[in-house]
Amino acid sequence: MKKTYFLLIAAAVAFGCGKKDKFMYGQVATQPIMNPDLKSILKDNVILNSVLDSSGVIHGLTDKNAFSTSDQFQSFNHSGYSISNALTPYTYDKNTVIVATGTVLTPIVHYSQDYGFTWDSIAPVLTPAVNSGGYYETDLSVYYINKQNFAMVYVLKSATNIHKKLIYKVNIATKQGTLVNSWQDFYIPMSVKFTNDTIAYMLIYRSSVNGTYISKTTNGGSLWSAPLYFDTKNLSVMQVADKGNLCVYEPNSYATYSTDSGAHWRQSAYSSNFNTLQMVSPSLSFALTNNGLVKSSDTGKTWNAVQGTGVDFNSMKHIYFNTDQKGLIYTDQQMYMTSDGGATWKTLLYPYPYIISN
Amino acid sequence: MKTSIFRNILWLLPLLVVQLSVNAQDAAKDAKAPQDTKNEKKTSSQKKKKTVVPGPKYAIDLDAGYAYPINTQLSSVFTGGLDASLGFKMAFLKKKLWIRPEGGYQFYTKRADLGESVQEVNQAWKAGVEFEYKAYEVKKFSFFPLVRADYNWFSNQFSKQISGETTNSQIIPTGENLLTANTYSISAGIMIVRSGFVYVKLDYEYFKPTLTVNPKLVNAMLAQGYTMADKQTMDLSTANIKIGFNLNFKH
Repeated sequence: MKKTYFLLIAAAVAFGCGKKDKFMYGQVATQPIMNPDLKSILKDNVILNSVLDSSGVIHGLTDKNAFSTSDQFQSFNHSGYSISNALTPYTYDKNTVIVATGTVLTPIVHYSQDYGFTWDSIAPVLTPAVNSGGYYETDLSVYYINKQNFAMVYVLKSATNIHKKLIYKVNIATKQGTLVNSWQDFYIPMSVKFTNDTIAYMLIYRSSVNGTYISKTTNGGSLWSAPLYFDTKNLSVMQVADKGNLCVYEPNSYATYSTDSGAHWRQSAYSSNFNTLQMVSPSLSFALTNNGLVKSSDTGKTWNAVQGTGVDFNSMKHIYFNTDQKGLIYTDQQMYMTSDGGATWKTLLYPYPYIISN
Repeated sequence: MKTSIFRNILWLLPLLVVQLSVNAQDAAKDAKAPQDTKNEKKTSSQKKKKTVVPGPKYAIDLDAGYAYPINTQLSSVFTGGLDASLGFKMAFLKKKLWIRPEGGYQFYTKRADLGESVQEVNQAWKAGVEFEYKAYEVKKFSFFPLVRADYNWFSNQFSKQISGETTNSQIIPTGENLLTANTYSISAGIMIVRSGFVYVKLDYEYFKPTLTVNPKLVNAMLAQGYTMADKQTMDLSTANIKIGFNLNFKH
């Protein structure tokens, strides 16, 4: 009998033991939501831009990689790139990305026509060269014109407030930059948008006067219309849709719309300010506000909240809708996709520990 | 670790007490035995009658012992557990067959590191019936093959944090059931009875429940980037060895 008790005591010692780092719930089947290989485009990366094309392929650019996926990141392609000390903001137009580095007077323009997978870098030869003597500051912006050309816009700021503007049209193949226009006045360009080879809009402001003006060219930039004052607030972001529909807004403020190529404007507001806004088509716009996603189907006349689940709208920075149903919403290391107009969102990219850990 | 061992030994003490009290009763009977020799002739007829008249047809069984996990799904988490049961049994077929409605309890525990140390606990309350058949008898020992069917109320949980939340326990809910199942198990084995009082029971229990996962855990895992099944079938079968005592009713 004593032996039996001894065995039971030994059993009791064993009872109460087990591996401290193994748990019953660990036996339940789990599967990573995201492909762990996405570490290559998320860890230490910041998403700069992403679009969803009509065939459902997502293209995007981080500060270190270009990526694309046709199956919502179950598999994906990516290619690293290195562009440091950007002189200008990245400019996007469909599959084209343009950014300049170097110095203002001797810039290197990096140009990609496949969403950033491959880049060409050119040192444009500007004729005549820019002479910044006598000006206290020189700013440079680069804009897409077409597959063969891009525009370089210089603003030479003067203490007299009469600033000099130079627009060069640079041929990618020859690397030659031809001066299209040069003029001096009180205005400073904020944004330029070419809709085709000849038509472009220039959003401008006047330093001594609060408000926003717009100017238009119909001959490729050699002649611009007189600046039209259309809003009392300085608005910096311009979007152009078909048939002369324009939208201009300022982050954390309201928007204003034109349906006649900028001749007449109508302010558009929601109960919360717009943080970012996308004009999907002449009538359709989506915007992120502090109170979530909102949608307008009447060229910004009225806005309605989109009650969506699966994403924290307040932490998002960018939206891109392809249609009124399909769109992306994203920020530095997160991306979500909707296929039902924003009602539900699927997580595509997220910095889960197993994604960004070493 | 010491406290854990002591705590685990504590459940043996009631069994020791029962055993000591039985030993004491046996000693008392032995002491009375010489006085009965005077009436030996008188009782000889009664002895004959005892062999003819069957013993008690009812009894209460109490047993406890060690549960050894058979499948790695359980053995990789717990080395072993406690298995105990209490039943009221009735004899049939000239005391060859015993039917024992019973209630049982199976319990596993171990220290778990969730940032801060907590206890992980598996427990299953059981209710069922056991069939024991006296197949063989040699000297003081009787051999009873047995089968049992139980309905189980199974749960798994981590003990609640006392000294505040830790990083991992913010992810894993503590103090509430993570996995639950209410379902059947079956057992088969053998019971070896010594002198009709003490017995050892060896059995294999087949228990393969489909566990329901706490939705909070599913959501917590989702927040960590994992989809977790809300149902999971696990093999929690065990080999059990138990020592027990039966308390016979006087006929």
